[in-house]
Formats: sequence, structure tokens, C-alpha cells
Amino acid sequence: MTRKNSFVLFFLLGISFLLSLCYCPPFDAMFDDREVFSYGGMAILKGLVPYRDFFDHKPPGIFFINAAGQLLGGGLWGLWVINMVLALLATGALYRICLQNRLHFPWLLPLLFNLMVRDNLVSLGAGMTREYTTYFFVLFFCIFMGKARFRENLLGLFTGLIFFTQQEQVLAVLPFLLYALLTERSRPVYLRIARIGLGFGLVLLPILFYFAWNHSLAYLWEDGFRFNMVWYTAQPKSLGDHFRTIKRCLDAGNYEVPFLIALVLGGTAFFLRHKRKGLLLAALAAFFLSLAPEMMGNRFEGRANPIDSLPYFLPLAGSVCALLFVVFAFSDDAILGSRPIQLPYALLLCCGLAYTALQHSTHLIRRSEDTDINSPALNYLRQHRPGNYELYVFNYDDYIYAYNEFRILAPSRWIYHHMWDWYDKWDTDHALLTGITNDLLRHHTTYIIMDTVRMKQFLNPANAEYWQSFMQTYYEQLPISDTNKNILWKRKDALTYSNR
Amino acid sequence: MNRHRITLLFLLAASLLLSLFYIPRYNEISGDKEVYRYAGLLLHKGGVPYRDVFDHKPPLIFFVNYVGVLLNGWAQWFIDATLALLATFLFYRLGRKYQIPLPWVPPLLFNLMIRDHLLCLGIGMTREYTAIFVIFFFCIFLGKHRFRYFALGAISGAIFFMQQDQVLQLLPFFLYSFLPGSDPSPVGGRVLRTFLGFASVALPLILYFAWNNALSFFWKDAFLFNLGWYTQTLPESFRDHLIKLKTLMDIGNYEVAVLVTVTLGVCASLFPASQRKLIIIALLAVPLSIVTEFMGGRDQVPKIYQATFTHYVLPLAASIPILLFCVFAFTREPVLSGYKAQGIFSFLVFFSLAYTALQHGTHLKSKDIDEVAESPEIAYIRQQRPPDYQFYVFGSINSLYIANEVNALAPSPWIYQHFWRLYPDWDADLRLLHSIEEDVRRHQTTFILDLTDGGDWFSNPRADAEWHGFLRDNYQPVMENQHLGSVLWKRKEAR
Repeated sequence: MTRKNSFVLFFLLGISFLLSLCYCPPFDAMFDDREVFSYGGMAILKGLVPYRDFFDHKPPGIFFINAAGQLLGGGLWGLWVINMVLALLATGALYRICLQNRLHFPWLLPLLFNLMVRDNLVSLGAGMTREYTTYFFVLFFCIFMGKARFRENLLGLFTGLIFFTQQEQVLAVLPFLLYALLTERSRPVYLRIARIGLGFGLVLLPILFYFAWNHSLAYLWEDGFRFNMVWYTAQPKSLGDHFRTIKRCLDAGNYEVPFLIALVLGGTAFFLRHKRKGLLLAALAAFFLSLAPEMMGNRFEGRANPIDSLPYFLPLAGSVCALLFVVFAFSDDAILGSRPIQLPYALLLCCGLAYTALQHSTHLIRRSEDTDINSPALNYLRQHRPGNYELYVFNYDDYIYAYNEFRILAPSRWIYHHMWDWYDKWDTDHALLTGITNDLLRHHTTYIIMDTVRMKQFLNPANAEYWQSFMQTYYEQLPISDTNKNILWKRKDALTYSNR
Repeated sequence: MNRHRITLLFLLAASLLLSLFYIPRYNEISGDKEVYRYAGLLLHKGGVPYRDVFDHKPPLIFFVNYVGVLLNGWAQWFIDATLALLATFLFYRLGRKYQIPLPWVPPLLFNLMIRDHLLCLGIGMTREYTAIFVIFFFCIFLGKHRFRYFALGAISGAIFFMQQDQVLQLLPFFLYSFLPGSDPSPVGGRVLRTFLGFASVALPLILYFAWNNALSFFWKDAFLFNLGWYTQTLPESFRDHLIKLKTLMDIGNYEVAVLVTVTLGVCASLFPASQRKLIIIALLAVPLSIVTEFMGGRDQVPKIYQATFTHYVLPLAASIPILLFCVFAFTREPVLSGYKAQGIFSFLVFFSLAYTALQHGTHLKSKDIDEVAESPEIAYIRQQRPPDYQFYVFGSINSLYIANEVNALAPSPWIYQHFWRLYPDWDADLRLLHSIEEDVRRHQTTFILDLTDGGDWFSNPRADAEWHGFLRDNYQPVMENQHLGSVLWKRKEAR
């Protein structure tokens, strides 16, 4: 590496670090999904087993990453370090292959990748599953483009990491795996499959072993996989609606220009002279497959408002860069491969996202300023600190944060409840709700955080009625809020006892 | 028919189709346009702008609306669509003349941008006309017609008397035209011919107002007001303005087109070019076309992340296609001048705008479902059909719509009143408010639709007390619309 290239690499790593710094714990906004993952990490460290002892439908990788982060210590800093190091690794690897393949602007794609993956409008903070799979995807792609001795093993390993962090994201690497199997002649196909399988097994086997050891394999299958296929894709959405959602999200996240440029250049390159059209086809397929989560159904907020889920588009940070790399590195046509034509593309790709990053970094909001974190309910609980099983958050995902702040376990495995809001056939006989109420009674849970207004979101009135009747019988609202919104409930006998 | 004629036909058809989305039935109700329409109605009934109705726009828009009033709105649509078609035709012809590989691209971009429903507020806004005039200007600027400078001056006049600030974007082109050596004719002659052209628009207007003893009104309202009150409003930082522009372009789907074109302009000015100066001039004209944004805030609080005053970026509909034209026509960078590269960039600039047009075209919203047009109090007034001076709207220009529909002149020249809301020092001695009350009393106005209820509309509490006291003393409420925040009052004696 020349002195100039070393300087550029140092500069790129510096930018990557600075962008990561915008999401360091004091400034990383609270987001309910990440609170669930964080709770998963804490639960594992306290000896609980994912799915068996708490419900979530994400694969287990994200819980182990969170557990590792907490093991590193420093509160949320450990997880941030893992996150930041992965970003630096991906940046360095991407820059290296750009240099190896003599791109005119080798800094462009690593910079674009960092700007996209740290786009606050899309990522909603650091630590989402698709952020990790995006790092893994970029590392996968860099290994795929390289000539490492254990290349196939590593490809299998990263495929496994992606699959067990966010299942559907594995679709985006399949075209490259197929390309590696079908077009390369370095080793016999069966040997390459075996080597990839071996790499995948390095992730799969420890996970299977862990769950088998804890008699939880069935839970892993039911919650981590089957749930997503049965329930999570149950809300159909028309193709037109998907298209509009994609347009809105790309627009809202400032991804529109990179998306369009990658799409147009990828499509155009296919009809022009190109050294590796098969690879281009694979990159185009990966580009579209990285949008898979949007196409897999509908998510609702309350009863009828479909959610535009911006983090679904975060994987584009990897697939856009991969596609542009293939276009720029192997195009034989001057209109794509020449330096003067790539200059406007370079400016276009980065300027909108650089503006977003600038806006974000100059308007950082402290996590401690979050209204939920400073709510009267949590302030009250800080003074009356609950222990394990003594607090339950019901149908109010933002407050899952409370478990993590107090480092306590929930009394029930159902730590979030929006399935009751989304699916009218969910828990029709309220067996699950009965299970929750039994857990609460068994643990003598003192506090429940619940907003009565949100109960209206329950699709099945019988379920809402059952839950409200339980709450009226055993719990009472604490009048601690200075607004009309009293969300903290206390067990009646506990209330009587403390009053005495 | 050869290929170019077929392309031109398609282009004109696209322009007509995009204009059809704004036929009177589907043309969005917007307060500003209702003011222009009202001024057109006033002209039709023999009134004089500024003297008999207050507005701070230059007068040409009122005359265009006057023609519109003559044929119940369709005439204005016809003028509008014809102007767009003419601009499209001239722009395409210019592209052919300069042998652009894809000569249909700049005119189509112009049409898609000017008909972007997310920003344009329907047809009939002043900046829509000036954008069309700028295209005419550019086509003449690059032509070699005998009366070129006269025509440039005349179009500058039309732009200046349609929307004053829009003339600024022409300055770089004029500077280029008047540079020694850019034309064999003497500089003095060029300036004189331009001036004569400008005067051909200015003089009839000045004569009209002088004839009607309204020159001082014209000067004070259309010019002094804009330099005084209208630029001394809410302080917004330079950064606020930039964010606002970004927001508007984002919301209006102009973002990709503007980014791609400006980036190409910057790059083309660095690459080899046959007319580098022209590319730089076209680049300069882009920020000048949206200079309005920097001339003061128009809100009580900075709404930098909201879609307010969206039409301020509409002039980009001319300056961006012009810049793209200059890049495509004058670059000598072999890669950029080919049709393949230009095709890719064209696709990029079109995609979002074509999507927006498609969405709009397939989801047209009739006025019949407009919340203002179909509100109960408007339906009531429609039924009553009050004659001239018997109906007055206070507090919202959107509701002027009904005054225009029933062809009723207002009792006071102050047909909109948001200065009382925006400027705490406005009418500090309540002289203007008293004059409104006096006019209303004098004409024994039957109905007043008031949209200032709630106590915080007036920035001066004394004005609030005065106006609502006047209403309570002389009028009684007939109906209330909580959704729009309006109360329809009827004169007490009128019972």
C-alpha cells in the first residue's frame, strides 16, 4: 500500500469512527427493538435461555452479540465497541478490494457504505440486527472478491452469521454463493460446497448445541423461525403498496439517490460491455434481495396504519456498494468505467448522505433527554427500585428499557405484546394472557406499566376485557403523573401493605 | 413523419396531459390564487388593483386572471396550457438546433417539474408563469433573431411585472449578452434595444395606473411593501434557509433532479466545454432563481422542516432544465457528450418526477371534496349568493374562494389580513382595522366569515379586542366550523 493509500485509509477509518461516535451510548436514541435485544443479552448472562424464557422472533445471534457487549462491560459501551470495530473492519476490507481492483476513486464505496449504514434516518441508532448483517454482508463480499486460502469456509461462516442474526438477509448472499459454486473452477463443486457447509456449521453447531443442552430446540424453531413464516408474513400488501413504501422510505432516509444510481448503473452495465456479467447479475440479484424484508408482509401500528419500516432498508448500505463495485471495477464501457464520468456519480452518491450525517452530528440528542426515560413512572421506580420479576411492562414497548436500566428480569416470557394488536386470530382463547396473569400472580409482581389507551389497540375485545378485568381486580393506578397519563400500576395488596 | 416530429408530438402530448391534471375542476384551491382571481374579478367590474384591493404582487398576474374570469376559469387554463406547450416546443427546437443527443430531455424535465403537484399548488401561481417566461427568454437568448434584444427586454419586463424577484436569475444571462465581443453589434445598441423591450411592457402598465390615478398605490403596494414589511419578518439563519430548501426539494421530489443537474453542471464546468461561460452562467442562475427563500421568513415560527411556501422552489422548473441543456449542449468531454451517458443521467432526473406525476394523475382530487369548498358555511353562502360588498372574509385567503365563486366584491380593499397576525407592529394605531370596520358599516355588509377566533390569531391583543368587539356589537354568529376554526356572522339588523 502506497503512502497516499495509507493516508486515505487512515482518513476513511477516521470518518467511520466519527460516524460511529455519533451513536455512542450517551447519544444513541432509545428504540424498543434494541431494548428487547439488550434484555435478551442480559437474560442470557443471568442464565436464561432465549425463546424458552423470553419471547422474540429474531434469530439468536443478536442476543449473543448483546450478551458479548455486556460482558465487555461499561454498560452500553461494550456493545458500541463491537459495533464500531465491525464498521472499521468492513471499511478497511472494502477499501482494500477497491484498491486491488484499481477503482478510480477507491475511497468512494467505503465512504458511501459508512454514510449509508450510519444514516440516522434509516438506522434508528446503532445495534439493529440489519446493521450487523450489513457488516457481515460487506465482509462476506470482500472475502468473495478476494483469494484467501479459507475463502469458502469464511463465506460459509459469514452466511451463518447473517442467517442467525437476521434470517431473510441471507437471501442477499445467495446469488454470490451460487456464482461461486457455478462459475469458479478452483476446486470440485462438492468440495466447495463442503467447505462452505463447514464454515456455516461453525456458527450453526454451537447454537444448536446450546439450545439442545438447554432443552430449547423446539422453542428456537417455533419462535426464531416458524413464527416469522406463519404470523409475521400474514398481512398481505399489494405490489403497488410495496412500491410506494419503498419510494417513501428511500426518500425519507435520503437513500433515494444512491439507490437510483446503483439501480440505473447496474441495469445499464448489463447491456454494455462488461468483463463479468455473471457477477453483475449476481450483484443485481443481491441488490433486490436485500429489500426482501419489505416484501415479506405488512406491519401495523395499531389497527390499520401500515408502518413504513425504515430499518428494513439498511441492508442497501451493503448491496448498493457491492453493485457499484461490480459496475465500476469490471465495466469496459467508457460511460461507466472512465474517471470523468465517475466523478459526478461520486459527488451525487455522497452529497445527500453527507448532508444527513452533518445534520445528525450537529443535532445530537442525549439519550438521557428521552421523555420515556424521564417519565414520572420511571422516576418513581428509581426511588422504589423493583427487583427481578417485580416489574412488568404490558403492551408498551418503549418501557422495556426499564428492565435494562434496573437490570431485572420480567415475570413473564412475553416481554412485548404487539401480536395482540396486529393479529385478530392471535391468542383467541386468551391462553397466553392467562399464562401471563398466572406468572404475575406467582411472582407477586408489584408494578405494571400499562397505558389503558393502548388497550384499545387489542384486536380481540375479549382479550382486552380479560386483561382489564385482571388489572382492575389485582392492581391500582398510582397517581404519580403530572399529566392525565398514569401508566404505573401497583399490586393492590402491596399498596395496602405500604400504606399501613 | 420523421422521428423528430413524432418525438415532438409525444412531447407536446405529455405537456398537454400534465396540464390536463389541472383543469378547473381539479385545480387546487390555494389562497394566493384566490387573491389573484379576486383581483381579476375586480378588474372585470371596473376596479383598479392596489387602489381597490390590496396585494403586493406586481400587476400582470391580475390581468391574466382577468382573462380567466371572462371564461369561468377555462380561459386561464387554456392560457396556461398553451404557454407550457409553446415553451416545450421552443425548448425542443433549441435542443435540435444545438444537436443535443436527446433533445426531448430538457423540455420534458421542464414539464414534469412545473407540474409537480407537491410544489406547484396547482396552476396559476406567479412563479409558474415566470418559469415559462424564463424558458422563452433562454430560447431567444440562444437564438439569432433580429429582434433578439428587444424580445429579451420584453420578456424580462413580463417576468418583472409578474414576480419581481424572478428577474434576478436573468442577470447572469444579460451580463453575458452585454459583454464586449459576445455580439458584433455595439453594446450601447444592445442595451437600448433591451430597454425598449422592457419599456414595451412597463409603459402600458404605468399608463394604466396613471390613467386611473393609482400610480402611488401601485408603487407602495407592489414594490415598497415588499422591500419594507415583507423582508423584515421572522429572522431565519442562512442555515435555516438551506434546511428549508432541502426539505422542500425532498418533499416535492425535486431532490434527485436538482442534485444530478447541479452536480453535472459543476463537473461540466471543470471538463472541456465549447461554451464554459454559458454553463457557469446557467449554474449561477439556479441559486438566483430561488433567491426568494432568502428574502425573509413568512411564518410566525420557522417551519424549516415543513412543506410551507412550496412554490418558492418552482422557478427551478426552468433553471434546472436550462442548466441540463447547457451541460448536454456545450460539454466536450467525450464520455458526457454521448447519448448513453446523457440517457443515464436523464433517467435519473426523470424517475422521481415521473413517479410523482403518475401518482398525481391517478389520484386526482376534485374540488367537490375540498374541505374549504365544501364546508357548511361556504355551502350556506353559495345558497345565499350575496351581492357585491355583502360578504367579507377575515382571517383566511383560502375562503376567498367563495367570494370568487359568487362573484361578490369585498366591502374593503383588505381582502387578506395576515399582516395583523405576522407583524406585532402592523397597524399599531388600528387605523387600518378601523377603516375595514368603517367600510363594512358603510356597505352594511350582511355576512362576515371570520377565521380569527381562538384569541391567538392577532399578534396585537388590542387589534383582537377591537375586531371581535366590533363583530359582537354588530353581528351575530350563524354557524361555526370547529374543524376550520371559522365562524359565519350575520349583521344584526339584517334579521
